[in-house]
Amino acid sequence: MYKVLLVDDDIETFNLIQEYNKKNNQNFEIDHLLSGKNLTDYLNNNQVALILMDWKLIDEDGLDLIKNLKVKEAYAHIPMILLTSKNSENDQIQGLDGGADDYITKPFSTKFLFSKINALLRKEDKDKNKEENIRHKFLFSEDNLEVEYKGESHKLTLKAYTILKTLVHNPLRVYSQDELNELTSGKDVHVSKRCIDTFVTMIRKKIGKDCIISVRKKGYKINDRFISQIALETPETTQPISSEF
Amino acid sequence: MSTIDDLVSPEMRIQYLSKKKSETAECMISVQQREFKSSSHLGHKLKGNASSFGFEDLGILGDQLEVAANKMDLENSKSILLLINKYIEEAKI
Repeated sequence: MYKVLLVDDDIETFNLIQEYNKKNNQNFEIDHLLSGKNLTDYLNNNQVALILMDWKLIDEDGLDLIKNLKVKEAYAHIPMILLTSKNSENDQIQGLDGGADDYITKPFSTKFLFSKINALLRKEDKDKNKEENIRHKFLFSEDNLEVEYKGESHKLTLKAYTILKTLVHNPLRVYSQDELNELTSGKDVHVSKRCIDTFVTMIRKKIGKDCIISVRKKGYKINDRFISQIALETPETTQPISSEF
Repeated sequence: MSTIDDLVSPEMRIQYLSKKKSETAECMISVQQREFKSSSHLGHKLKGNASSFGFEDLGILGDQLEVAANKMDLENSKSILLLINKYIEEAKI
């Protein structure tokens, strides 16, 4: 059973959601926190599938709570829906750009809310499967800095190995050059950004030129489409395909 | 999109109004002391959920209360709180 956490200082919203959940056999376990004070403690002790966050809490800003969670590796993957009476276009842009995965304006219909919850959880499941599929295609050997991919072993330098392993283990995330620099050289070591480009080029030469994509002005990520396609290839499909396609 | 929830039971509606009635009474006392935060909060919450319980006009009054309380407008806040109280007393479930 999925656990959904509502953070809202308003008990009535919880009652509404809980009532709908029970009457419609939605099969969620709904928990409720009246504030964000014990939020991280709660998340550390519970397996939460999704968070519903009120924006305007008493003495707290729900969007700030989302921002704080989204930068932490342990919670960033949890889908978070912002629930709020703020309904202007600017509010919605601010909410979504601030890290919310979806935005629902109050008053809302609980039927619609549950539709959104189910859709986000379906997407989360798909993403998890996709991530797992990609991770399983690489076999990393820390001792000799080798990576096995498509049955072939490739020897890498320590930095290239670290970059590839990081990207493969978080295949849906874009890493900036600064982040990759920090991972490979340490926090306070300033190296040329071209350094990362060089290692990425090295990885591309070994694994395949499209295995890592550059995301304009953001950084690098593993090319999940490329990796997934490779996995589906059979000897027949690797033959040249008619240009009609 | 309709926001009124047909699935909300009469008991929940009664419980909701009863809670809002006591919160309104508390806000009446607070605004007399020129404390507007609780009225702003009540207004915001009414705006956000009253219509989900089938009380659309109460949601509109909530919106007005939030605006008046945020402006620290004593007279308007008091008169809107009175209207809210009247609405609750006369509401038909």
